[in-house]
Amino acid sequence: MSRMRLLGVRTRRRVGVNILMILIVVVLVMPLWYVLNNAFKIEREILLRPLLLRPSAATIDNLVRAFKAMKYPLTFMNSVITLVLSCTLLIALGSLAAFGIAMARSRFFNTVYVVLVAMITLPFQLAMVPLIFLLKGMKLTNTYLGLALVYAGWFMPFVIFLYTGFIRTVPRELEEAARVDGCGLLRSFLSIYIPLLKSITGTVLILRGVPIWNDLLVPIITISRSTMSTLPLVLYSFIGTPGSRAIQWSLVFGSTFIASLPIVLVFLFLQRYFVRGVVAGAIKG
Amino acid sequence: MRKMFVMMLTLLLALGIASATAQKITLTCAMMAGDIPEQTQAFLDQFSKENPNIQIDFTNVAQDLEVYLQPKAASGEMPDFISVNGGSFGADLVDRGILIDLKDTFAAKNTVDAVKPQFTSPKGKLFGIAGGVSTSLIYYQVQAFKDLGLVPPENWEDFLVLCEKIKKAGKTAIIITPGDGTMSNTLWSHGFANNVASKYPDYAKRFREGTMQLDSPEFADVYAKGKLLFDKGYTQPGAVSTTYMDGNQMYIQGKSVQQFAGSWLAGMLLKTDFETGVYMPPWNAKGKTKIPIVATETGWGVSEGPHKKQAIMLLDWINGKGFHYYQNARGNIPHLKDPMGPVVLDERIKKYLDKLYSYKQTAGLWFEYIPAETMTLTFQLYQEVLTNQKTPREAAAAFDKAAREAVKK
Amino acid sequence: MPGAVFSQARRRQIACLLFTIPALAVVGLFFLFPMLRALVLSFTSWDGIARTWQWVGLKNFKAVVTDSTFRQISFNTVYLAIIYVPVLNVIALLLAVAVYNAGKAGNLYKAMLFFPNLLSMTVIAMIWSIIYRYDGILNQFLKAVGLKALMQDWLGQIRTVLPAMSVTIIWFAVGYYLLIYLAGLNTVPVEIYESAEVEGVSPWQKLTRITIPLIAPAITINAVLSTIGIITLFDLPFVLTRGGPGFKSQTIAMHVYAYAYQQLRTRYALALAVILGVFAVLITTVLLAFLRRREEAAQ
Repeated sequence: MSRMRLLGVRTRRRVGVNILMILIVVVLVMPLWYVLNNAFKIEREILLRPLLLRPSAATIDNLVRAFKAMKYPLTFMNSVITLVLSCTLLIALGSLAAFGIAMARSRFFNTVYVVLVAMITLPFQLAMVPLIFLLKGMKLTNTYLGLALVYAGWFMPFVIFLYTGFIRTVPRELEEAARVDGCGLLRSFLSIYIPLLKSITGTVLILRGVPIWNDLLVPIITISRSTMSTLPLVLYSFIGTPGSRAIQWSLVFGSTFIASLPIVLVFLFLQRYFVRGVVAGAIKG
Repeated sequence: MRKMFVMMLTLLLALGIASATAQKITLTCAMMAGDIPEQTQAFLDQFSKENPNIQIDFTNVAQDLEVYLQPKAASGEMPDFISVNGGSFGADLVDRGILIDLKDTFAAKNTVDAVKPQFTSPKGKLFGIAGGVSTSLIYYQVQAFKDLGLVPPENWEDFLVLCEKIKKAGKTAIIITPGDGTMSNTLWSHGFANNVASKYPDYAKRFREGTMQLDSPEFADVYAKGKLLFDKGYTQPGAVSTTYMDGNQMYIQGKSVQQFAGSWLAGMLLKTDFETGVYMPPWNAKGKTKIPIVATETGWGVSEGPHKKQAIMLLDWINGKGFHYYQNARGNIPHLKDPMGPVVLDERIKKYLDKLYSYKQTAGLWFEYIPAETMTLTFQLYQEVLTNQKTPREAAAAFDKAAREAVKK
Repeated sequence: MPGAVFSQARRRQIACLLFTIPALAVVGLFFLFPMLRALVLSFTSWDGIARTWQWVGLKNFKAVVTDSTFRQISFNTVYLAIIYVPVLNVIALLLAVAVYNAGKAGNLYKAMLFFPNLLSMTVIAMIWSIIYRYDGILNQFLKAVGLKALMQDWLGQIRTVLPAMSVTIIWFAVGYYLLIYLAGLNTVPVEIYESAEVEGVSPWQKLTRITIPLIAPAITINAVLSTIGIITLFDLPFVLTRGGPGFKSQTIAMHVYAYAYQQLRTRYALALAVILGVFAVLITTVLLAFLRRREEAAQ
């Protein structure tokens, strides 16, 4: 009897919660609907009736113009290359370093680890100004490598933190057994640990990949050639800060739409992994 | 063997000649083309068509020009060809050798002298060619004026009376934009022109030397006028956060009878669904002559560097043969002695210009004479005055202090 | 011969060192080194362009701290840290509990709530600046539901600008922290909740007595991450309000930028950045100490 009652309570709660959640989600997503809408209105209509819920004469003209004006294929490619390069550096070097730290059993390495974790709290602004000069001196401005190295340096502590936490949860017996078998440290890393790191690597990719993809601060101080512009940078040149000299709304919304589209699509297809990734990272962290 | 050798040599020579002729220079070009990015790309492509050896790498600068260029100037990464405003920032760059002196270029010789002083440094170097002549003025709904029996006022007192009448009719009298720096183009500049420049015609020099007295009732009134309009309810609701684009949008939607904006917006604001007229802002006191604004639009400069020759070619083209591409897209007021092509200018602006050029004493726009370090302060102080964080006199004192400190550096 | 000279343990140490060196080199060169340079330069008269400079001791810091805006920007930064962090975490936690109890549809909600986190901050600020306009969506909505009296200039009034900005930031970030809380919730064995229900424990008690103590690690992580996040945030508030009205929504992070690129005073920018760094480290240390202790108590 009590079992049945239990079920009833839970279902009622479930329904109530669902209603609440639907309301919240609708309100939350509303601003995005606004952008979606205006991206398809003609300039005149955006100016005169921005709040109209449906474009009276939907047009893809804004998207086409924005596509051309942003040099989208080139800019998109730049963002992709930067992301891939940065993530490769972070994952390769980060996992390796985390392995080294986790496997070493000494005060020295622990101190290094603590210092690294503390660096996560430091604001980027502190390194910003001297960084430009450093990059210029090394001729790394306007290069993919330059961007990637900045992101790698900035986010490496966090990545090492994630990997180290994860590696420490792997039972030591695994590695010890490999050692007994004559496996060197490097060998056991490559053949044993790397396959295990798949899930945490997914987490790292999402937790750091999204901010890198959307980042504006680093490109704005290192890129000056339009051929090396990344998506956020070129988008900023269309949106600017509110009140920049006479910008056309049609381009603002058109560019916002096509700039956000890739990551939204990726998310929709891979959302299961996204969510799982963040969740996994949190538990291990 | 011999034959092979000769063939190789010829081949190498041919390749060498081919690569030399195909030598393409790429000019990095950072321009403020916010309102016409596509047309800008188009006419830059036109230049490349006429000059096949020169490719242009065009970056559209969205934020404040000075903020964009400053880190580049500091690290020696200046683009070859840039947009530059008249005023202390460019002057500083040319005196430091980062920009070149343009005095002897064709572009300079084709530009009217009136727009050169703002682009000339204290050391006498011309660092930029103006992009046009600009002014700020009041756009108004012709029909609304007719309905309420109003005529464009000639002085500040009459202006207040007019605004009161509009307010009584339940409408917004005028749009101001304290949300961003564009309010400096309108209320600040006209206030300064009529209150301070009238007393100190050598204001530009005083600013440079740090002897401009700004902690004064006249300058405080620049802020007080804005506050008055706001407090009396003549301005649009939500004025404090209204930005440039918001303000324009509001006027086009017919939400206000008047809009205080720049001449560079004529293209947008004169094409409203209702009839729009323009008149000179009456920031003068009754009985005193108006001091209107005749200023320059953002212009162009050339950086010292390996590509300066080609950059000068672009400069001469934009201010010569290629000018009409730029002017027609913008619809702004030309600054050239010989525009070398068809000029597109609205009749209402033409009439306004005739009147404007008849004034003997005029003043420039704020960014042409205040220190670069104080540029964001002009509108921040307005925001503080409108939200009662500072009195107009306190705002004047704060600005005075900042302007003096900038020079001390 | 190496085999005889170095013991296996030693060789391991060396290997570990070699593994960590590449990463440390990158961090050292591209993050630590510029930061230390900035720290040193903040004690000099370097203006960002000249090739020579002199030692000026604490002069830059003094100038920054006595500047008329310092009090305002410090207040704003602390205000945001104190208001935003708890509000964000409470909302995220409650939403996580709701999603947890929503059954199958929970996956959809999770995805939708995470959506805003995908967009670039410039876009978000642009959208919300339009929403907050006097004739924007928010006011129109208030008018439509009969709350006309509440219509106001959200970003143009001193008392509403910071709360309004916080709402925008929370909108952006809540999905991310919600997922972390969900992860924490998923680690709690269902039996605990079931037995609590049998005993007739109220939802409130369930939350405070059971849930919160058991997900203490997730709370710690989120608290620290969100604190660091809000202190260093720049893009969003800058595009949203430009620090206005006046300096009412200017944070320390924004002012570093203002010093460097608007006022062209590089050394003040560096000094302020150092102050920001010190503040960040201090506040996270305190936060961590406080939360770790609670975490241990919960265990």
